[in-house]
Amino acid sequence: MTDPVVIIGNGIAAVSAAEAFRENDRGTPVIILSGEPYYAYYRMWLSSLLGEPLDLDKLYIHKPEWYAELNIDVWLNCRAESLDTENCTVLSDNGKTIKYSKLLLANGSSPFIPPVAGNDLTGVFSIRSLDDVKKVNEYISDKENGIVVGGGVLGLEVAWSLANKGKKVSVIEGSPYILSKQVDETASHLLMALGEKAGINFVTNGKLTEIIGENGKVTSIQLEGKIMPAEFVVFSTGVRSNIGLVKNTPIKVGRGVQVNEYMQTSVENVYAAGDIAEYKGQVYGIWPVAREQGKTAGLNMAGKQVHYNEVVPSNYLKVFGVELYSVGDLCKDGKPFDSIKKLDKENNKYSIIFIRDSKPVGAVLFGDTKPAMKISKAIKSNLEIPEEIIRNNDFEGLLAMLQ
Amino acid sequence: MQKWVCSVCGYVYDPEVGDPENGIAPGTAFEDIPEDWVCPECGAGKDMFEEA
Repeated sequence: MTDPVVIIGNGIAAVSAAEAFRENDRGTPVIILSGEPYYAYYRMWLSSLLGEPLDLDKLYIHKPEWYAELNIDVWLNCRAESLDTENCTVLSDNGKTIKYSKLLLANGSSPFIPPVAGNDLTGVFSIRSLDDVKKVNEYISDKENGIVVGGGVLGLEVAWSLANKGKKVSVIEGSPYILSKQVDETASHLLMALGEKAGINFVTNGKLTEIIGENGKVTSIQLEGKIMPAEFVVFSTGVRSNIGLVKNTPIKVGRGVQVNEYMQTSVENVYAAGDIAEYKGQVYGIWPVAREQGKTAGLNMAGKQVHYNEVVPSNYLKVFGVELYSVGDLCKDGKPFDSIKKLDKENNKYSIIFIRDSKPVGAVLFGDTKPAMKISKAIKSNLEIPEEIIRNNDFEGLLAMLQ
Repeated sequence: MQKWVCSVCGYVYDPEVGDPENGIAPGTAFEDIPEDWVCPECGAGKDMFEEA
């Protein structure tokens, strides 16, 4: 019998790969190693589960029966400890050595926690897994004051979720404005104003220097120049690929495990997909990319020759009672650009299209995301915008052009 | 019938399957889904879908 295909990891990349593989190969055994006690679930929902009861049935991407039907063997609570790419084996933490015919690294990423004093105190969290959410929920049930470190997408979702549960929340952001990677300054200020209305406090240009505790538990945080009381702290300061597993193997690594367009690593029969994978120098760390890369890896592992179909990264966020969308290049490199924009402050609506060489390259839509797909298509197709429309800041004229 | 894909998470709406758990019967064309329906995987609005 053929040695099994082994998939390390249990996120969307792993499941998409297993599914795509099975569609093309019914026979070869497939084993998924999941370090968590759960089947793959919708990780994107985690922040919305703060203070909520967990319903696994709703969270699971596929029910346990699905794996059985497809003859995919899932080993829960089982981590890969080390790899031997010469002998094609994985050593798991339950002491088993598994020989693989093909291996997929889909073991994702972990939260990055800045190295500040006190970051190991009780009451300091990051949110990456269901168990993280369980721990936070248990700890904060009788607490009031929370600090969220990081004003990015996850940080704002966490802050919003906590505020909705009646917590007093402050967001500490190191940049001059929140969501600084995903939106422009105008949209950021509009968003912050809505957050403040919802009772959230923002500290921009905030530099966290220490987390202070008593009896091992968080009591306050020290920023440059001030101390703020805090009963719990949630870090949402980015993620790093879990490349520790491939140390001491010949697999080439940059920020992540480097892959080609077939999701192959530098070592034969070893593939990588999702947050662990670095493709063309980029580790995106977002769901749609992981899904597509996982699928591509699965197809190629089953003997197909399929290129990774690059996903154009976009951001979508629903917080503080507003929807916002951004896509492409927001022209933050300091070089000149044109723009077409429309601001309706009263109704909290704002749209801006960034233009270079008469072509749309990026956009932020705040409060009204209806034209999102039309605009994203225009960016992809390098639509030429007539000079007159740019000169007159004719937003409606531009929309009329897009079909 | 035309399939639609969520640009936020990659979920594919297949009219043949519908989204019965959220009240969309199999056979419902994407255009006929109520405007307040959201992506069952990520919660994004209907505006975030593009033709697959």
